[in-house]
This record gives sequence, C-alpha cells and structure tokens, in this order.
Amino acid sequence: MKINVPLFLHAVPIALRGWLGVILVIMIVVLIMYGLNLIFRDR
Amino acid sequence: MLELFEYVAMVSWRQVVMWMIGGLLIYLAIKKEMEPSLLLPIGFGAIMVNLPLSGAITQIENGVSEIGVLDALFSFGIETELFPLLLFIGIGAMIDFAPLLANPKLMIFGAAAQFGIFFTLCVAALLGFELKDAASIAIIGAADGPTSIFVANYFRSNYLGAIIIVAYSYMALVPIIQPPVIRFCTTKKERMIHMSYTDVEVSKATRILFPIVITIVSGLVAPKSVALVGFLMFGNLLRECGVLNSLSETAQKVLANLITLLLGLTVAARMQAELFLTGETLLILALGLFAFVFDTVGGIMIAKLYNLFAREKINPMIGAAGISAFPMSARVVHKIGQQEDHGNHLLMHAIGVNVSGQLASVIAGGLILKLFG
Repeated sequence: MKINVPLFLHAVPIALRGWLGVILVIMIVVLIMYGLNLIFRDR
Repeated sequence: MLELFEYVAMVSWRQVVMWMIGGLLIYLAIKKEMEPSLLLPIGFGAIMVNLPLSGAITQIENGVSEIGVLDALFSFGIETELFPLLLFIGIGAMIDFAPLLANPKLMIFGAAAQFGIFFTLCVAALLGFELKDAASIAIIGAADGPTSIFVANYFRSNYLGAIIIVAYSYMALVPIIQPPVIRFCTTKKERMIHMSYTDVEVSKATRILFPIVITIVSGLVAPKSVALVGFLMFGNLLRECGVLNSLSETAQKVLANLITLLLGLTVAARMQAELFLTGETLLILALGLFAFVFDTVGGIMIAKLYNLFAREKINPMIGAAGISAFPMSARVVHKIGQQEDHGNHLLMHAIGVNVSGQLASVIAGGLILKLFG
C-alpha cells in the first residue's frame, strides 16, 4: 500500500462533482415528476 | 496408473485456498441463504477455475491457445457488458416505483446515500489505487451487483473478481452492517419519530412517463449512462405499459434467472488464485465495507439536514434506506423503528427511499463513467 496524496487531492473535486451531480439529476427528475403528478392526477 | 494422478502434484497452496473460498461461498449460499443465486455459481466456478490446467478457462499448450468456456462466456457476456445490461431489463421489470412516485421528494435521500461511493473513491485513491480502479472499487457502495460489474468491466479493472464478490457479499450483509451505523448516527428521540402515510394513487400515465423521463434526463447529463439507465428503465416500461405482461413476466423470471446463472459462473473466470489472492483483495474488502457505512451515514445526515428546514419532521433513519439493496435496507429501517416504538410504521417510506436508492445508484454509476471514463 502506497499513500498517494496528490491523487487523492485530484480525486476529491471530481468525486464531489459526481455526488452533487447525482443529487442534481434526481432533483430535476423530482421536479418533473411533481409536474407529471399534477397534470395526470385524475386521469 | 500413475499418469492418472500427474496433475495432483501440480496443485498449489493458493489453489487450495481458492477451493476453500469457493466452498465458503457455497456454504454461505446454502446454509445462510446469502445471495444464493449468485454466490453458489460463483463459489462453484471458483473451484472449477482453480484446478490445475482447468479446461474451463483458456490454457496455452505447446504455443496453441485452447479457449475455455468460462473465458469465452466472459468475452461474450461481460467484456461486451451484455450480461449486466440484460439483467437490468429483468430488474427494471421487477421494480415498482409507485411508492416513490407517490412522494417524489424521497428520491433526494436515495441520491444523498450515494455519498459513500464518492467518499470511498477518494479513500481508494489515497491508498494508491489508480483512479479507474478506485472508481471500480467505490461502486461497490452502490450495493448493486450489475452496476458494479458494468463499471468495473468498463474500466477494465484488474480487481473485477474481488469487486463482485465483495459487492454481493456485503449486499447480503446489509442487516448486519446497517443497524449499528444507524444507531450511532441517530438519537433515540429521532428513531421514534412517526411519519404519517397517505396512500396516493399514481396515474398510469405518470408510471409510463417515469422511465422515459429518467432515461432522457440522465442520458442528457451523462451520455455514457444511457445503456445502464436505459435498460433498467426499459424493463420498467415493459412492466408499467400494461400491454406486454408476458414480456414483463419473462424478463422478471426467465431472463433474470438465466442471466444470473451465467453471470455467476462467468464472474468466476476472474477468480484464479494468482489474480484473486492478493493484498489488494483484502483492501477491497475493507473499502467495500467503508462504502456501505458511508452510504448509510450520507443518507441519514441529509435526512437530518432536511429536518432542520421542514415543518413536518421525517424519521432520519429512512435516509439509510437509500442504498440499492432492496428490500433488505427498508426492512432494517422498519425493524429498528419498531424496536424503538411498536406503533412506528416506517416500511412504506423506507421502501420509497430504497427504490430511489436503486435508481440513484445506477445514475451514480453513469456519472462515474462520465467523470472518470
């Protein structure tokens, strides 16, 4: 095992983008689904 | 007569260890019923590939390569990503997204619980794994076998065999891993929070549009995720469209069973002693556990954050159900809720978050392909 601090520092911002990306995609879907639920509520 | 036993002398101690590991996987599958549909074929396959000059895997004899059936299946089914994707059709047809569609905000907790994947990725990079291997190891935290196979294979990870064994083993161990983490991260008062449940009818149009919307949105953000998300959602569309019931049933039962059977055996092709018995395998075992723990922590913490701003508080334990291990994780949350207070019924909420975890883990896999591919 060889500790690689530079690779870790390189990975952190990309990983953060990944996690926030998942939350962002899901939030967009949540908004669309609320909209669809409203439109198709009684059909 | 002695020539019958000439290969016995070729057995190495490493191969014997692999037989024992194969035997252990078979024992866990049969005796403990831990993911038996996968651990049993994987365990048996591990024994097959670790026999001297095994005909199940490719051997080079006198400079001539004799293709083994497991390697052929690996090239055909896993290197092309065909098996995990076909399995996704079956899984998509099995998932009922209705509890989620009735309360879409639950999806946020599924997304938040993917924290463990990205945190583990950083830790694996710190421990010296190459970024692509780190990403492949971290996806164990998706608690989703086909996604782990897809991502690890996409990155041509050297640790594919270990990653898959660890992913499926921990999925089966969710009822043991999650409770202490949930208890550590929540107070008794929080665990006793009741949540009201109203049965909201979800229209057929919404159910049909959901898989299409998910595919378009995730495909626009991460084009590499289209196959991963698209096959899952296609399976779900078969289920929800209402006119292809026989196809939906075939996908859920025949297709999923057949692929699972082949997948287990095929994965074993990468469990040859020299590839599997390394120090890295132990590290992957530890990192997989790390990913599961921090998925649980991430889901709970976002649920707590939500409570800071919400008028109607939610039980933060449901955030822990945001992993893909369905329905084990939801059951764990419900059981802990009941242990604290018999009248506390969290199952339907936890199921909603659990289903969102299934979805979010696939999207996380797609984003990892985009960011590190």
